[in-house]
Amino acid sequence: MLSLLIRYGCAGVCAVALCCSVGLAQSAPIDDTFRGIVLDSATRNPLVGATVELLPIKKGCITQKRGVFSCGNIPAGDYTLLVKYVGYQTITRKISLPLKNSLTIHLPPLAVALKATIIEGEREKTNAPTKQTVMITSAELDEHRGQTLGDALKTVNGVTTLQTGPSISKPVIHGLHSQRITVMNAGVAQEGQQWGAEHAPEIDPFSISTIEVLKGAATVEYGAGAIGGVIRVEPRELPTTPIIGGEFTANGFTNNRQGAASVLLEGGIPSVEGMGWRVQASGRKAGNSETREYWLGNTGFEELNASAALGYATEDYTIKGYYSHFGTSLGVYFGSHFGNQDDLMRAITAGRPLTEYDFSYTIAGPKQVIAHDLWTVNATYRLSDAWKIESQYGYQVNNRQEFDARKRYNDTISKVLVPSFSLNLTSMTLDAKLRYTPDGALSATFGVNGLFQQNIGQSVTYLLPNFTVHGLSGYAIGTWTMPELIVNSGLRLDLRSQRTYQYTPKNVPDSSISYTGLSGSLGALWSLSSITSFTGNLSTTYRIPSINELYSDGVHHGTAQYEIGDRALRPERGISADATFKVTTPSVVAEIGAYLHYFDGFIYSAPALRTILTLRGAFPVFDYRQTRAMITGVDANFTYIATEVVRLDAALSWLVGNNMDAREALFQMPAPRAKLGAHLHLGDWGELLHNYLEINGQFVARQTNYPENADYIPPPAGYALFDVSAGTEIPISETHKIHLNAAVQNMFDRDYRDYLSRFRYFTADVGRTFIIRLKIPFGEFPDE
Amino acid sequence: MKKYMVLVLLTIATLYGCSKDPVSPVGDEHAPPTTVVMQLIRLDSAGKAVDTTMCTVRDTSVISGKPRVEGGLSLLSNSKYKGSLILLNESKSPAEDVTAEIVAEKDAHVFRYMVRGDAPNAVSITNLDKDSKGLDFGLNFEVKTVGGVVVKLTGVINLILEHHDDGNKLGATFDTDINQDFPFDMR
Repeated sequence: MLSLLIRYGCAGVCAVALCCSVGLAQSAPIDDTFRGIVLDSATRNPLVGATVELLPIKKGCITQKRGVFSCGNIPAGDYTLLVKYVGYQTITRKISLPLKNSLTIHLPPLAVALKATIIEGEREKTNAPTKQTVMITSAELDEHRGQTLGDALKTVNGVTTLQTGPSISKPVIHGLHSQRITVMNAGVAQEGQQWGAEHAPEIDPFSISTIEVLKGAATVEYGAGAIGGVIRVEPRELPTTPIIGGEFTANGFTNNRQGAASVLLEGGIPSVEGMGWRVQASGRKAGNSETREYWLGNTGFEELNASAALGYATEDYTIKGYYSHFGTSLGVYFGSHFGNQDDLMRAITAGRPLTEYDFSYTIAGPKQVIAHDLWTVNATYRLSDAWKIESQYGYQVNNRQEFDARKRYNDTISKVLVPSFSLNLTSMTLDAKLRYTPDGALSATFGVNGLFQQNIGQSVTYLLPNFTVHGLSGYAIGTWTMPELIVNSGLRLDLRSQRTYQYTPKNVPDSSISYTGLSGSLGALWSLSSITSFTGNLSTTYRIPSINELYSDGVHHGTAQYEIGDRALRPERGISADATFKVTTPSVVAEIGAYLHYFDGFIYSAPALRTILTLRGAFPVFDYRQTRAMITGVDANFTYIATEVVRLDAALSWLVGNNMDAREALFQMPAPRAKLGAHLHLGDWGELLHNYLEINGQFVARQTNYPENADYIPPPAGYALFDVSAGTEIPISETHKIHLNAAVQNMFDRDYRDYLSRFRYFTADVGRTFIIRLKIPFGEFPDE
Repeated sequence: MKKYMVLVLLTIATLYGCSKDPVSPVGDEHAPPTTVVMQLIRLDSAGKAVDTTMCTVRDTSVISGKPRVEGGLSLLSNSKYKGSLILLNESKSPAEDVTAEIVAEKDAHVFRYMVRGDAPNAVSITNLDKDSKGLDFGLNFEVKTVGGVVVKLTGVINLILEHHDDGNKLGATFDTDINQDFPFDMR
């Protein structure tokens, strides 16, 4: 009797325990429908009848009208997704279900060697199937996230950075930067005094989810600033289902003892399906950087950023609002700011700090204090199956203050520090696009863009006159898709009116100049066989001289250079062309591309070989001139998936820039460089999942093509840098994993100088850095 | 669709409605000096003023229509001079005397003098006035010339105004606010 009691008692307890545990697991509502859309990656036409299958359970469904699929009764878990369609490449990808958003799958046609992409949520990509586009996914960003936006871009072949210390990093695409490339932040062109070589794009690396780099002229769609290319930075897609979750990310860097952290919270609204929101905040604090032998005084920086987004999506229309604030204080190395030429020459002759510095978090003058606020509203409306209208309104305010080494106060009593200049740039843009994507071979986009911009500044010594710009542009792009050939062509008309306000001490009159520019492009993507393809593009480009190129007349803050603009500068007109050959097989991707940028009236600043005597002494004069110029280069990359474990990468980029009228090289063109890397998928070890190890070597040659008499010292020696990184994922619950990775940059603590670093005259570049990156998701939604 | 059109019109309106008319940039509140006048008053053995010699140096990158160096210092051998500097901002009309602004910040500034030319030892500059901490300031100074000069000597008095934020006037890092040569001849 007792034994029976015990037996049934145990069974009863066990049964209750089992029910409870099952009940707990099911307390969170799980959506067991796997949803998404399958599109042609070249034309973005929906694919009806494609097979979507999940292995190993072998469950799936077929895409219906408009390429949409909805597979029901899929239990949560890790699967291999298989998507097949006749005439298209089959793709396989690992996914974890359930997902928080529906999936957009872009399948490349077999005859076309484009990359397959799977994107959560829907995102309109650039209407440029023939252009060279490199995408940095959010997983890749997490692994390589660095101190600035420029760091993340270093992995793209053909992209280098113009550095002013570790905190200021400007992207350079094929030798072109500043006014000749465009950075798009959440669909709006970033406007923030980008004419300055020490003015980096004001974007929080934590607010970005994906980066798309378009190499080559894209001026028809993006306007005059996109001669070298476009860097599109996008925040995360908003959730559309009513669950709340978030992410905590932290990065640490040893070299400058930097800590950076970001918290993100997003979710849907329970009563309103299709509505989603997100709030995010991040902060960063870094101290002085260290080279192998010495500290760089005053190179610390700090940042406080925040962003918020709200969106509503239905099948026919979407509306999204986004706000981001970027605020930073950047110290500028003490030994890089000069009062006069004697001080400058003393520092260059020494080539290293004249004072011994130590580590400190203190940021003193010289320093930059920048605040950038961006508001955007984006609305799309599907008029019919073939017609869709998109519009975007952006309002941004960029406030940049630069403080000198010496302290200036507004008065001796209240002692409020006064910057040596303060510039306030307000920009409003309105974009409207009408997209026509019928079932046939021809698709088109018609766009209109309006711009209003105003720059108001105050400065102790003259910097720039105030100005207002009004712009109106219209463009049309057509794409014709045939079985083995895609042809893309566009035309754009730009009207621009630039008004500068009177500044008597420098004889700047109140004047208004109007410009009209016409530019066009033609591109083709030709699939030569099932594994090879060829793309070619030809564009005409047009750029209006910027205010600093026209009206500079004074010592450039801290550089000990007296810069003089030229009011007679005419617009730069150019032709850009590129041709790329690509081979894609299951284990090899090889690509070689050549490009050319020809400019009639390339504007640049060069030493005038004379000095101006000011009260502070003599300053070398640099003036702005125009010349015929040509930049030609080659980018080649090679990826070999040797085994299931090993992937090998190699990349080479080489370019030559010539000043054709002066018959010499162009100043500050990136030196030839090569990258070699190996990525090892180490699989799972017990609780540590998806382990990987990556080793990379970067080899930069000495630049031997440079103009004589245009620089204080010749270009520095070549160098080699090695990085190692390793990462893992540690599950903390059924649906969440901690992503952890550790890396070493400049592993051997090499003392090196890069030709594109503005500090190379005075100091070596930063030494070894250990990095640790941590990402912890939380809340109701699972990881991808 | 109607809501959409309203949004479009609103944004176009703000785009073109919001243009303010900014006048020329706000004037420099702390305009640096554009002109330095070095004035030497010759003293007799009793310490009374006998005559004055002056030299003006201008920043012609800011001021136009006036000579860069105006006048010159005429020195006599075996003499003593009381020297002083006057700093002006001639970009304003009438010219503004900004010497007081430097005097107000004398703890962070020091004028340094160096003689160059035919016979650098023929002219010596000493007895610079001090700041509140007893360190050299140098707005007012003393010039002594040696005796026994037979031929006419020429040279320059180089003036450097150093700005030391930390007040450490012996420190190696400083901002050079003025670096000018004042020509002289001596008989």
